[in-house]
Order: sequence, then structure tokens, then C-alpha cells
Amino acid sequence: MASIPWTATVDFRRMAYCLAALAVAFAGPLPGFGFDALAHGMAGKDADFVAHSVGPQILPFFYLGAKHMATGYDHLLFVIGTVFFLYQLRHVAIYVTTFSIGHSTTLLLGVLGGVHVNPFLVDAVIGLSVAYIAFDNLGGFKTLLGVQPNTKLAILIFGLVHGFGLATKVQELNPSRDGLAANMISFNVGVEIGQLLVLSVALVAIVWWRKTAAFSKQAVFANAAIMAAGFALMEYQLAGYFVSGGA
Amino acid sequence: MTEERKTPSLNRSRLIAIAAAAFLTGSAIFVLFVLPAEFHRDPTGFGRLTGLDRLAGPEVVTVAAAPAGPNATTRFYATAFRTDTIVITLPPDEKNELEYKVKMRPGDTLTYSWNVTGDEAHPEWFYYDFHGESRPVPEGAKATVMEYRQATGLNSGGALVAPFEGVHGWYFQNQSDKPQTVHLKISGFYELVPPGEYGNEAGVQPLPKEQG
Repeated sequence: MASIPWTATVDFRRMAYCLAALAVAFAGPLPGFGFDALAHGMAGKDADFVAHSVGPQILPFFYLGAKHMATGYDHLLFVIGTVFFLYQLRHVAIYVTTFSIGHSTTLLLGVLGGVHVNPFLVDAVIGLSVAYIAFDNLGGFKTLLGVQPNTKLAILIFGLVHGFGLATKVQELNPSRDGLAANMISFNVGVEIGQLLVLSVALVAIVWWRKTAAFSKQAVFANAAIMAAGFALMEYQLAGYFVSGGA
Repeated sequence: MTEERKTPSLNRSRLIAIAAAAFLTGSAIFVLFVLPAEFHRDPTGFGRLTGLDRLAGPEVVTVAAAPAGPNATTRFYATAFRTDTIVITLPPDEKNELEYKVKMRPGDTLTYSWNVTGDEAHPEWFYYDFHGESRPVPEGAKATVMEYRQATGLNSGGALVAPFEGVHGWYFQNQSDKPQTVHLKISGFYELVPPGEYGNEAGVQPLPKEQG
């Protein structure tokens, strides 16, 4: 196994921070935890809140963004796939920022600019993005096609798609135009914070995992499992698209 | 480009096997679990076998039934439920018409169906008047008549919730030059009018009940 510069620098203080983040990430969303029937839309009282709030609601929208990301299994699988084989925190920051630039752009563009895309098709491409990143993690393109497509570019493009996915979930709730810009920026900041919280937990787990002897074998299996989940999500959303009559 | 991602290197055949297995696993999850549980589609029968398909049932919304009054959703009767079959033949002469009605109290319900045989070529030659009448009490008081339907035709079916106490039923008239026979079935909560009494002056008897 190659040397692992980043894991060596992990000390107990950083770990404690990460564990605190874990507590926040899980204690926060749990009371209102709920999955929508299709994908993970917002439901119940969260949906009621968005539908009925007028004017800027900074903290509530921030919280909803964080909760949506922290409980959004498709976004999480993609983020975990992205950092799976990144061994330096600097690189983690670059890749995750690339993803964030992508999804922030289309989240704001979609909701503020009133750009509507089909939620099922967007979620199907998000499922595909999960399978893509896992396949890429196994060196799939290089081995099979002989060329390595630029991973950062792929992450940026898929980030744009994930942002449309976030936008459709907000648009379904028909938020008020009054204070929308402030609310969407709050929501977006919440999304990034939620992503950071989950990411820190995932990194702690993965750093520990890398130290184990069986990691290299299990990593292949884990990425195969992520790929399978991506395909299942994609087919789920495509089925939703056809059942709903392409609406 | 620096190697930022330390991805494992797999040989070609292993990679293809892994990707194929991932696709098949994902698809199996989709076909076996997601389709029956989320969409109520069950191509393999696995959903029915395991009860997964019951998860995709429609959302149940409970609404209140209209409790009482003329639009009551449900009605309950202490009296016996009955079914009668009546066959009436009307010859093409001066006895070509008669009335057959049953006794009902307000809110009593019956369902009925009848058809006419004998001159199927001329449905317009069979006339009926479906209506209800209250018995004038005391003698000499005004009787109430409510018309339900006056028409020609060889069959009819429906339901009646009696609007008032009285006799409710049909006036049948054969305008054809052939004998015609009415086959009438009634079910519900009502009483027969004894032959010869008001509402059944013609003395029609229902067919004897089938045994068994």
C-alpha cells in the first residue's frame, strides 16, 4: 500500500472535531427525519413551512438546506465517491469545492431564474453520476477506454446536475418570491455546511478504514456497491419518469 | 497531472466483471424491491410473494359519510330484506294495462330491474309510468302522487328511496297487437300489497320462492 501522508497528520484533536461534527450532523436532522416517496424531496411540515413563509427566513432556510444535504443519500453517495481515494485534505477541498460551485450555480439559477427541468430525469442523471464516480474510482475509463476523462470536469458537470436536483425540490414547494434570493442563499449555505458535516464524518471513517489491511480489497467492493446503488437510483427515477407519463 | 486520486488498478476482465455485477445488482434491487414497493409493478412475482407490493397501495384518505337525511350514505333497516320476482302478461285487448306497486315507508329502499318480451321489434309500443302514491287518509283527503319516470321501452332498472309512505311502483301498458310479458325483479326493504288491495288491484302474485 502506498504511503498515506494525510492520515499520518490526523491527530486526536481533529478527530474530536470530526466526532463533534458527527453529533451535530445526526442529532440535527433526526427529529424531523423523513423520506419522501420519490427521491428525497422535502415533505410534511418542512414543505408546509416553505410553502407558507413570506419574506426572508435566514436560519430556517439554512437549516433546511443542511438537513436536505445531510439526509440526501444520492448527494452523499456522490460526495463519498468523490473523496474515496483522495489522500490529501488539499485535494479533498479542491474536489468538493468544484462540486459545490457546480451545484450552487444551478440551484440559484434554477430557483431564482425560474429554470424548470424534469425532476425525474435530473434525479436519474444524479443516480448515473453516482455510478460514474464509482466506476471512475476503479480506474474504469482508463482501463477500459485507455483514456482518463478529466475527473474534476466530470465532478463540475455532475455538480451542475445535482444543483438542478436541489432546485427542483425547492421549486416543487412553490416558495414565495418575497425574500426568495436571501432564502435561497441561506438554503445554499446550509447545503454546503450540511455537506461539510457529513464529509468530515465520512473522512474520519475512511481514514480509519484505510489503515486496515483489508482496505484495498474492501475499497473495490465498496465502490462496486456504490456503483450498484447508483444504477438502482437511476432506474428508480427513470421508472418514476415513465410512470408519471413524462410529466 | 499529478496523481491526486490513488485509485486501484484492476485488470480489464476483473473491471468488466465488477461493473457488470454492479449493474446487475442495482437492476435486481430495482426490479425485485423498488418496482413492487414504489410502483406496484411486479414482473417477477417477488413483490407478491414477500408482501412488498402492499407498500405501494394508494394513500388512504378517510372522509365522513353523510350521516342522515335524504342524502344519507348508508341506511339501516330493522325489517327483513326480500327479493320478489313478478311475471305479468298483458294481452293485446282491453286488459292491456295494469298497476303493480309495493308498500314502502319514507326512506325504504328497493332496487329493481325489468324487461319485456313478446314484441321486441317495437319498444315504443310498451309504455310505463313509474311513480309513488300516498294512501288518502282519511277517506276523501287528497292523495300525493310523485312521478319518477314516464316512458316507453322494453327494459329498465334502478333504485328507489321512498320519499313518503305509500305504494310505489309501475303502471304498465301494452300498446302492441301481440301479448307482451313483463319480467320484474325487486329486492330491498318493502312489503308486497296483498292481491286486490290498493296498489295491486289486478291481484298480481309473485312467483313462488325458489327453494334452496
